[in-house]
Amino acid sequence: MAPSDFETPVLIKIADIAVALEIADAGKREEVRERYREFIVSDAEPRARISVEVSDDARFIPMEPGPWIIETAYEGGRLNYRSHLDAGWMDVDGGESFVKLAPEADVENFLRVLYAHLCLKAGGMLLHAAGVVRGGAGYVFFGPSGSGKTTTARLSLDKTVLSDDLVILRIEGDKARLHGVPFRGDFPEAPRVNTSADLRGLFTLVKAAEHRIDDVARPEAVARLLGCMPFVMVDGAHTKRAIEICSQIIERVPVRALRFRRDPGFWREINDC
Amino acid sequence: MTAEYPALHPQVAMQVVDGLTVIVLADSGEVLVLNALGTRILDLIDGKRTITEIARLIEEEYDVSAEQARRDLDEFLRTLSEAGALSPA
Repeated sequence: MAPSDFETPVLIKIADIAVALEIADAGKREEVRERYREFIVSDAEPRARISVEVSDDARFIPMEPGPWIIETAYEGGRLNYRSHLDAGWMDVDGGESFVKLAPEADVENFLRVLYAHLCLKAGGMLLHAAGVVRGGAGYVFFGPSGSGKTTTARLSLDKTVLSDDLVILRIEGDKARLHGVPFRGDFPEAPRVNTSADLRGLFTLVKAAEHRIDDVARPEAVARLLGCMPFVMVDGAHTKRAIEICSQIIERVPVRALRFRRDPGFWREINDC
Repeated sequence: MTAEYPALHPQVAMQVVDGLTVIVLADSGEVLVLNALGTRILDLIDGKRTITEIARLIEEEYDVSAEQARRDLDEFLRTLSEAGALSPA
């Protein structure tokens, strides 16, 4: 007998890290397949299995005006997760996770948190950044909300834009590698490109009147990267690991400050640096 | 209030990079880069030295007055304490 759809998990592979989503709800399963279609694979050894339960009573943090809230707490080797319309837990070391979500909710925020931790464990980072591939090389523009990630992505549409909000960096030998993710910020129409490239440029964004690139001292570089690593600083051990990975990344590719105005001329500065 | 024998909170993570300490504060997740003096003070707040002993070492090593050393130390420890970076008194 052929396995049912439920018995065949949806396999998603991002940054060479696969997860398997076991979704009994047929509509939600199709929704996940469509949303992440560029990242769906037919065969991979998953680092985590996510049991997804869809339920009308999945109502957790009450909705209020203001930012979308995601709460995480690390207890006894498990990361507990809670947001407005979904809640669950992830055992990153054990490879098991569970999320219960409302019919109108999606698994994206849970996946973001899970991947942040899977990357940390695998020697990498999920970073709030725009990612662009040009000429086979990866360029990352990072910073907090409002720093210009979406702007730099929109000004780079003649190149391959991986994301305007989140990318994954992984340490691979003596190189750092940039990986695309299916997650988006304020630029939802951008294609969800599943590709990767060796990292060549790592820029912290500063809005300015003129384009200019400045060096950043290494301690400040580590601090700025840490400030753009969401979800992982849940305790001292995870934070120490995050600091180590930031240090290893900047040993391979230094952080520079990109002062830019709203035109694509900043790429000329990048060419020259 | 700062303990007589100040010590870092066990959940505080930090790393020295090029002689300066990058520290992540336990409660807020805020990331700070400490200058050379702050980095030295972090070395000294090990739960075994008193505030008075630490101030005396700062006075000697940085050639500042006893009053200045104590004032700088108190301010630094107050900042760390308010950020949840020190073990409770």
